[in-house]
Amino acid sequence: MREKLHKYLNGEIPREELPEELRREADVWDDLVAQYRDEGPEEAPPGLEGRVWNEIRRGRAPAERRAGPSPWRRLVEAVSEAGPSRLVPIAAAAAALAVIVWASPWQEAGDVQETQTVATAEEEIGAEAPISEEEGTDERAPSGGVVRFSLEAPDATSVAVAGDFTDWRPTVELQDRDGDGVWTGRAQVEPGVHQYMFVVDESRWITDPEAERYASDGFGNRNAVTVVTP
Amino acid sequence: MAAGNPQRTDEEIVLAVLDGDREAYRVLVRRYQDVLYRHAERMVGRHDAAEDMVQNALVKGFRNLQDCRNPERVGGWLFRITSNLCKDYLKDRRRDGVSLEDAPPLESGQANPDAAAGRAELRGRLEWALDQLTPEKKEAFLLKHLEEHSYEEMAEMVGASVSALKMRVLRAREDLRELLEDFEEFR
Repeated sequence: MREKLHKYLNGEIPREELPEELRREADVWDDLVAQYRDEGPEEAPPGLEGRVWNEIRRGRAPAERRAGPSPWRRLVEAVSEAGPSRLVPIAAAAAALAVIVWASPWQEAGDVQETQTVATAEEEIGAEAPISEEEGTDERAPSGGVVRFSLEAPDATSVAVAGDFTDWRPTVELQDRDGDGVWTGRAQVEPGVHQYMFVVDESRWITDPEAERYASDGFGNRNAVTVVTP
Repeated sequence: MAAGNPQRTDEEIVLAVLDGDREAYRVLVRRYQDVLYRHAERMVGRHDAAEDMVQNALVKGFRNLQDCRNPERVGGWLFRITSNLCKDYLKDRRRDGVSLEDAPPLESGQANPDAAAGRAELRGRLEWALDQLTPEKKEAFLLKHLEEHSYEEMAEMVGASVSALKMRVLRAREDLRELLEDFEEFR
């Protein structure tokens, strides 16, 4: 007889087919699960996506697709095609002379010093905000350094920078104003040691071939590293 | 950027991620985190633990995405990872002796005569009773009755046969009824 109750609870027979003596228990089950169902959580807690993404950024990437070249192989090829970044060493202020920067990005330490003397509370912007070439930096860098990024990528249609200072979102967009294939841009970054990658055409992640130093991302690839002095 | 097109199919997103577009995975996270969290919270019964389960499952899913053999069903694949983590958590908790088994069930005859209060008590007892089931039975019961999946859907999500799942749900109901039999409504 109880087999019919299970069939009803499985949705295989309508309630009318239940014998009278099982209908009360069927109603108890229905009430019970309905209450429990209605009181469950609706959404994942805020911030879960960000925590997942931070964890992903710290770990290794999935292995390559079974067909076609691996992401790493294509990344290497992309770097080879892009060629070395054009590097322009900056004559920095005396406080920053300890860091001789040959690779891009290079920190415009002189701007930092100047900025710190003119910034006001009203002018402060987030430390992670990208700064366009037009905006300049003199009045918009209350602390930290302005880092200039540069990548030669003549075939690219867009180049951006993603780093730990942007929560690994490619929000620092570079420009190729004169069409010579060299993409440049600047971002204000808090003092400290930071990792970053170039993102070409919104999908290819490329390690800066001329970075100051590199850090393993745990799966054979390298993130570029830049040191921003106070 | 690349993650900005949420209309892409699951299969397109999986292939994009495997092609190096890591940002695309964000769409999958946004698409499935709620349903995964709802299930995890019911399975493990704690918000913080459920959050850990889902976070770990989504990260594990990303790192092993190449093992998802059916990219258009990546949601079910992520669910299975979450579910396995939840079952492992429950088994560990039981092995460590941290369980709601410590909470004494209501004594027979304590049921509130008021119907609404009685149902509320019964609901509390159901939570306790669910925690006494094996993780596999609990999972099957939750999927069938709380999350209202068909047995065919459950089979795909859990990776068991329909007949095995029907048996798990039946056993879960029988166990629950036995655990709740001193309660007035079930007498």
